[in-house]
Amino acid sequence: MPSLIERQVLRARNGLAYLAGTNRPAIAQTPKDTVWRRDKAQLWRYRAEGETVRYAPPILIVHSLVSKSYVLDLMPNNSMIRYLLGEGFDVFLLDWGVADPAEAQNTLEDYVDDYIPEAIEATLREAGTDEVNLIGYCFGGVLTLLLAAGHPELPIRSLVTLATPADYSKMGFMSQMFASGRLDPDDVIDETGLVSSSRMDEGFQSLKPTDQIVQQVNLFQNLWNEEFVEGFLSMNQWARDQVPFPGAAFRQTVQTLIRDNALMRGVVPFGRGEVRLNDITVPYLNAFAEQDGIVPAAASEPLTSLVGSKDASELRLQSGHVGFVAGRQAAKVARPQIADWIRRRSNEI
Amino acid sequence: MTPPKSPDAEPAAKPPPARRTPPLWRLAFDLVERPVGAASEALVQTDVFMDALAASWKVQKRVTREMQRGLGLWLDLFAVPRRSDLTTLVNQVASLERQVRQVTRELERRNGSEVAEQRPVATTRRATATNAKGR
Repeated sequence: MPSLIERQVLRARNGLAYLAGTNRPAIAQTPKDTVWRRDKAQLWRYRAEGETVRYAPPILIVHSLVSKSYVLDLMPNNSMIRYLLGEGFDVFLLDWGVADPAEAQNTLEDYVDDYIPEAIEATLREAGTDEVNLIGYCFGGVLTLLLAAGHPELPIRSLVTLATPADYSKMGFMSQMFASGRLDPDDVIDETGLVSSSRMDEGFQSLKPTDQIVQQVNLFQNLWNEEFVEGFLSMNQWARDQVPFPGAAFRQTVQTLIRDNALMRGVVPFGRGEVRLNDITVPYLNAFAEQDGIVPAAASEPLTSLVGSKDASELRLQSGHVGFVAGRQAAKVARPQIADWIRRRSNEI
Repeated sequence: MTPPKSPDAEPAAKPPPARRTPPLWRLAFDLVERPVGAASEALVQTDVFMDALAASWKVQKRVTREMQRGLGLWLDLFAVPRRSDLTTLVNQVASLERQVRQVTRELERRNGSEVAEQRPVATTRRATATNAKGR
């Protein structure tokens, strides 16, 4: 720890750099190749120099529709992707890009019945395997659950959902605004058919009204610490970097998932029929965080018993929403345990 | 099976330095912020707040629409396109793009070809576990 004077000098230097915007951290540094593309969706395959693939099948991560996927590869020393590569997995990520009016009519079926199966097919082709391990993060977890329930023919070796809600009655006040009928989806969908990113950001920010002030105070207190500043800036950038949500999928989310709480009932009207979570029989890990303010633990917890898998387990983490993928808890607990769970259900090459 | 790496192997998991007592100003801030933060979090869960927020969003949307309509009338006088004209245009282009996507998919399905699908680069990490199935 530097002396008091040294800290003040460092604080002044880092503070000026912060104000001038010259110390922006380099994010998403792990090298990758785009191996498949459809509309805005892209499938990336990550490369880790010096590492070899030691386990099969590969891991395919399906990201959420409401945020950017670089949180999974935030910084070289704080990257879920890099960790999984280092553990000997072949890692693919399905990124949805930034929705624009052309995506406004996309329904959940478009993602679950079209994009993800095609991405799985591309993953199998690229990796030269006949199965995949699926990971769904946040709303991506909802998509993977609907996929595994509605497409038992797909070659899924195992399924991990991270911070994924099932019981929407336990979600924060934004969900309650729609559940109670105070707001209708069309109150927040703009004229281009999207829920704008600023509206999404506003919703997340209002969950903890004083959070931004506390964050700035934390930054000031630790401004002398370059490592802290770098981590703060990257995480802060991601937290404010929301993406628009396609209006059609949003209407479905409100009606089916929030108002009807269909996931919690285990039967979700989907496409021309319905899907049952009980039809999910692949090994399943439900990972959630006790201090998650966006997807509370109570909203995720029921998933373990809702699926039909005999091999279903849960991982509770003492952290917040991003504690699975970034931060100290992720490094110490989440990443090793998730990797170990998948490894035990994979084959050594 | 390879045992999981020690958490210490992860750079982000370096053991934290010994905890220091926060400075006085921080203690004072926390003393104020904690009750205020807790109260504000409780406030956003109340019916009154939710009603107010919902009403403000609805009013905001209506006022914006009315302002744009009013401004549009003036813009019409000078034959300048209004915002709604641009939005209509954007939506028409988006609709066209969706139709192109649909036709492309239909063609792919019919021909079994991969017209729109792009595989731009060769990848370098190819697993050799073609037959690695079953536990």
